[in-house]
Amino acid sequence: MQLDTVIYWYDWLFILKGAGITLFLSLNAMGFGSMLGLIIGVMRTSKLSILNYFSWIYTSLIRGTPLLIQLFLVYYGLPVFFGINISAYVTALVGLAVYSSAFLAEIVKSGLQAVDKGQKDAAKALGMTYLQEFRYVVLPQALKVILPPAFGFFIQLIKDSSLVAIIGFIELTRSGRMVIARTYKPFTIYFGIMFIYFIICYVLSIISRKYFETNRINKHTNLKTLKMTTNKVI
Amino acid sequence: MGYKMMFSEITPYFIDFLKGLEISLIISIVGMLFGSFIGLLAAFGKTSSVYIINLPVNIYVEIFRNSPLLIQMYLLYFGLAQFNIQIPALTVAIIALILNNGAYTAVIFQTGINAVRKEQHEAAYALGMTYFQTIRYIVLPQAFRIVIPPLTNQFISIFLFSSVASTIAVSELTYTTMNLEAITLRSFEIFIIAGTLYLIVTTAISFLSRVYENSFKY
Repeated sequence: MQLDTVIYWYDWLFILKGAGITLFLSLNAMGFGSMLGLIIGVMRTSKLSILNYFSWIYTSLIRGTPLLIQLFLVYYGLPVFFGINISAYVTALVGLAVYSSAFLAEIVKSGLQAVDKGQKDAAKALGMTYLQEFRYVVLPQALKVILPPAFGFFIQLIKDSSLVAIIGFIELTRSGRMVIARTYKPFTIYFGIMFIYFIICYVLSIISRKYFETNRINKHTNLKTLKMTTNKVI
Repeated sequence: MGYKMMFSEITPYFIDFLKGLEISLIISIVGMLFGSFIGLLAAFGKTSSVYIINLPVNIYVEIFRNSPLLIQMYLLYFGLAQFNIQIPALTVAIIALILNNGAYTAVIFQTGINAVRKEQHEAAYALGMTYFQTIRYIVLPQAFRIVIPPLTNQFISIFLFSSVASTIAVSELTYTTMNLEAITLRSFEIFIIAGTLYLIVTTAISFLSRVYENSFKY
């Protein structure tokens, strides 16, 4: 009996499918995490101290504990607590979304605080409600500050999503391990996986650098950006 | 929701938690120290204009910044076994952390070095200082102040990601947690204690760093 340790082309296809699942998972987690993170970030800048403290505790807890512990907590702890069985995909999604929401909340908070206070006063002077002021005045200007670090966090999330392989969710890292279990060629496979992660993250970071650095204010666009921001509320 | 928290079952194992925490701290501190050293050298390599130094350093930094720590550890631990090279798990964890940390701190130091304005270099050159004298007396002291907050964040990040070493069976805090969870089946209490320990160390590091930063202000 001969052991079949050759890596076939369809093994790489299986691994690439894992890469697609990784991206899909990261995008979903980022989506949910942004919505939650936006809410918590706004709570962080709120004047009501209850909301403020709650969001501060939330972000400190999640940013101060390892992602692996949080994933384990969701995977092993929650079913015991709530008595229902959760699939690995839902665990991964919930764990990553909650993790992202805490980091994004800090980014959103710094973005909101970067908006000039005069804008809010002017909006109030024009008679806008809090929601209108937030939606038409504060948020567009805050988004300019929020998007670069948020995109950087997304790149980091793609790398951190490799940890969900530990709880058994079949994405890039896990599919690699499955191929290794058959072919006994860990170096080749892990090198290939590292290459795939590298390509994804490097391309994204190049895009981020090109896109966000050409939008930075330099001498030529200063007047134009000034006009754009002051057209919001005069 | 029929779960009753019983912390009394965990207390006999508290020493194991502390032992795991000790190993986590050792891995993180060693990784941070040597990694920062490599990062400093790599930062000078990145800002150098010599192409032979610039290119390999950039390749190293980009590779280790854009791949997950888990894969780096797996590559060293499981991957080298394909060539019959077996490195003990603790060593692999420390090496992987040092290399990973080196790449991230290289970027941090590079930002700090570039933040020192060019006029300082010109003034030092006018005074007749060599390149190394400029680095030592002018650039590094100013860059040091700028670099401390991101370095603290990096240390916290390393400490939190040392938990990844548990996947290659290094008996640090997370590994101990998983073992105890298998023994006592009290998952909720175990993870709460582990999380609290991580939280205490993280908060202590941030607090100490802020105190240290404030001692610079006058």
